[in-house]
Amino acid sequence: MMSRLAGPARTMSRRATWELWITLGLLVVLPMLAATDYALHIWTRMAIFLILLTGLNFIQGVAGMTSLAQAGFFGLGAYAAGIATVRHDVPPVLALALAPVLVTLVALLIGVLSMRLKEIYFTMATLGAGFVLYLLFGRMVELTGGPNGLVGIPPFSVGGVEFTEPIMKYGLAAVLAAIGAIAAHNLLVSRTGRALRAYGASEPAALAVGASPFRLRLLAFGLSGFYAGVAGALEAFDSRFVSPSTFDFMTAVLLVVALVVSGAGRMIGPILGALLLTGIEVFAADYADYEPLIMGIVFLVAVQLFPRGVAGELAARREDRRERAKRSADLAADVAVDAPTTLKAVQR
Amino acid sequence: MDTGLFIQVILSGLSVGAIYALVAVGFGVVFNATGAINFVQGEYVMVGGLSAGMLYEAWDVPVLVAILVAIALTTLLGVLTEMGLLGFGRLRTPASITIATIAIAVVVKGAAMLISNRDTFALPSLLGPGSLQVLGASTSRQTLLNLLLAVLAVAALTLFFQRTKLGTTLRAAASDSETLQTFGVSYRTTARWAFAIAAAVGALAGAGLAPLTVMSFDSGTLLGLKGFAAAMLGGLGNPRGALAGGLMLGVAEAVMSGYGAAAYADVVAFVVLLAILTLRPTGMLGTSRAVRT
Amino acid sequence: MTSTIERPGLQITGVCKAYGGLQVLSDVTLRAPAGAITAVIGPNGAGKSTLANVISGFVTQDRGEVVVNGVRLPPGKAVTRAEHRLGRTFQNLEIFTGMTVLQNVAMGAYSRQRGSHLGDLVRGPRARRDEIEVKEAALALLRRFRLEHRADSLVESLPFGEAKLVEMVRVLAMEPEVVVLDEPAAGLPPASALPLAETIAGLAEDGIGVLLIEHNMKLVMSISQHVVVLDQGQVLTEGSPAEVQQDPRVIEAYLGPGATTSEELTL
Repeated sequence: MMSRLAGPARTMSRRATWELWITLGLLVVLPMLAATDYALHIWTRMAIFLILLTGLNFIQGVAGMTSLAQAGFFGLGAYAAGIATVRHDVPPVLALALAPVLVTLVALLIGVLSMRLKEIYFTMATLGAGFVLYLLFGRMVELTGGPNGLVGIPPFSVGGVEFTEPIMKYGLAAVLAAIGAIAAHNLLVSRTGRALRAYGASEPAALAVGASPFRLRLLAFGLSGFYAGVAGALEAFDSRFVSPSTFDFMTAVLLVVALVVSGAGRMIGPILGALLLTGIEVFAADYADYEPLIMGIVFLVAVQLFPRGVAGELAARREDRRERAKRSADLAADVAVDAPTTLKAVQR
Repeated sequence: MDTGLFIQVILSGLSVGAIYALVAVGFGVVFNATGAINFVQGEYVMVGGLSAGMLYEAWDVPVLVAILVAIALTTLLGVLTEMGLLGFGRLRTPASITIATIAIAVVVKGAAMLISNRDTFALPSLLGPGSLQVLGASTSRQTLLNLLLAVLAVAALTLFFQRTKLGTTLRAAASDSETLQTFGVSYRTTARWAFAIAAAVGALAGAGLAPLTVMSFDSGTLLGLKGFAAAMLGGLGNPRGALAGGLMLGVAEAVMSGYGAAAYADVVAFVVLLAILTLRPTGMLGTSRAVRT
Repeated sequence: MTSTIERPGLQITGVCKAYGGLQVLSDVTLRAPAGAITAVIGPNGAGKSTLANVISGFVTQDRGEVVVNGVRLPPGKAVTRAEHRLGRTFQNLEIFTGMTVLQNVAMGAYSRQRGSHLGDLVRGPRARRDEIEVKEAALALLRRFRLEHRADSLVESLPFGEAKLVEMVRVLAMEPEVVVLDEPAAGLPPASALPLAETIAGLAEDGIGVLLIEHNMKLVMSISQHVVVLDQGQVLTEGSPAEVQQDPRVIEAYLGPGATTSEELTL
């Protein structure tokens, strides 16, 4: 029994499992390659991006719906953790646990409102939501510190041990990233992941087998919020400072592009995307003035080179819709009563 | 309640709302021709306002000439946008075109940052610096000009879409680009016209905005998104809806700022966007497009 | 399948549906008992597709009810049909592209898996056991329909006939009590008609109530126990295949007034 299942029958989930191992392997190997304080700082950034993109992958990659709210969720997690610790003396452990819960609730609320919209309008709704969050970060000055940012966030600590050493910061981020990746892998290879993909392939058939698209997509969006909340809290404890500009529209776009270019919907996508984002960040520190221009050009070239990569999911679903249109044309034929002629033709 | 203040708030709302209306019109024109949402639209406003301001302030070009040159430059940018999007023949779905427009918006913004050296520029009003007395409230003359511009632009475009051959072709593209191609009108030609018109309208908005507020390389993104919210409010692709949506949004923001919540005025547009998508995604005036699955 | 004793199957009562001013279904009442094949035939425009969509919840009826084994199904809620063990196939192939044949069939068991979605993040021993059971059952079904060699192929790589069969196997993975087959022979070459007939007959032998909506008269007449003729949205007549073939009204509906022999309906 097991031998049969271990055979090629599981190629797709086996590929996902391989990609998970690569992800986990990189989390272990990278800090061995370079372990200076600076390098560890970079790897910590990468682990945070990994969590962020693993979350985005649920909605963007698996459910096939572009979300521009991830940067806003990221920021919400960071500000929630920061404000809780700075203004209310909440212990960092508790803040790390509560920030994702808050972000998940916000994501579910936005999801309930926008989940039934067609994909481009869903994207615009998430853009609107992300922008509202971004603007609030800058405008609620008494709470957030406004454009100047929130300062004085304590380091993460548990049982009196402060996570100030770069290796400890990295360890915390990497462990959470690994747990997140394993959980994402589990979901992707189980029936929930299958059903999320199924909905993109054939909406009627997914409904007919009892998979509720609304609930599944809401789940995917909620999860993307939860992961963003974890990443945000880590970001707050890592930088010990948060400011609105980290979570702007450009970041939202960058996250989507990084994931799509690296392979949305696959287990390997988030880690490759995280490496890409980290590379951009390092590069941008040296060429700040030219960064947006170069980023834009690279991004445009990528979209022109891999149009299916960006829009593959969407195009496939567009074809589905055309099929459905054909079906309603069939229905119209059903309606347009023309009785006696056709059967003879069918018989011959 | 102070009626003078109230009228002043409404007038300044209409003044900015007229700008949003122009941006919204631009979104509609491109959407009708390609089905895509053109994220460069806000950057057209920025390029129009910024280049006119630079010409006037740095190079001492007369205001009117500066504005005309800026509109010409921006229109060229519109044509270039179309070439950058469709010139490679690889982007076929509205969704992929939309994503590519984000890339172009980033390029334009990045280039503007380098060219302007992060400086800000402004224009004087074409009607001079004096203020205008309306029902006991005083407002800048630019307010009147902006309203006039928006109404004229919407009227001109409405006539253009209904009375001219090119206009009807552009509207036809909205319903079916495949049929259009069988009639021998190339999708690219209609798309190029659409982007050129959208860019020109955007530049006009920039020229109308520059006397009200200073322009910098990063003025475009927020303006574009607010214009999109206005377009959705009025019904995407409907010029008169764009006018109504833009003015409503402008007034709503002005009321927020005028009555003590200035910090949150920018949020209004996005709350409106979320609300309209959720409650009535075809816009207040409605279009026939289905937006739900 | 379990025993078929006194399982009433599918019962449709007084279903009406109008589009605009056009009455597509008026007062349709019919029954598809467990363990039998009930066919719905009728000329184009008779309302067959709409009937299938009402039963499976893709179209909301204006009046009337759809009952499976005594349970009234909520109108227009396609997603609820699986839990009431009502499965359907589609006239145009609806398969899960991008997935293997095995995964497609496993999706059929979706509504029978009771674990929570969030539980899939942990994928504990029970969830794993569930997954293995589902895959084993799917493989057994594939073996039964001689598709096991295709288990790992991407479903879109299959020839049309096999893909249609996968769709039917997916419905069986639901362990349905009633299935609605919407034009299963559409698009198939004539040579595939016989194996298809055997497959459908096999479902009824398993105790499933089969509602067969079909154009192909030869197929309908050869395997159905009961035939319902739909014309202009109404049940024109019903009876055994032989009775229906002899009914002059059926001949008229199909061939137009003036046709007197039943020649052209008997094949």
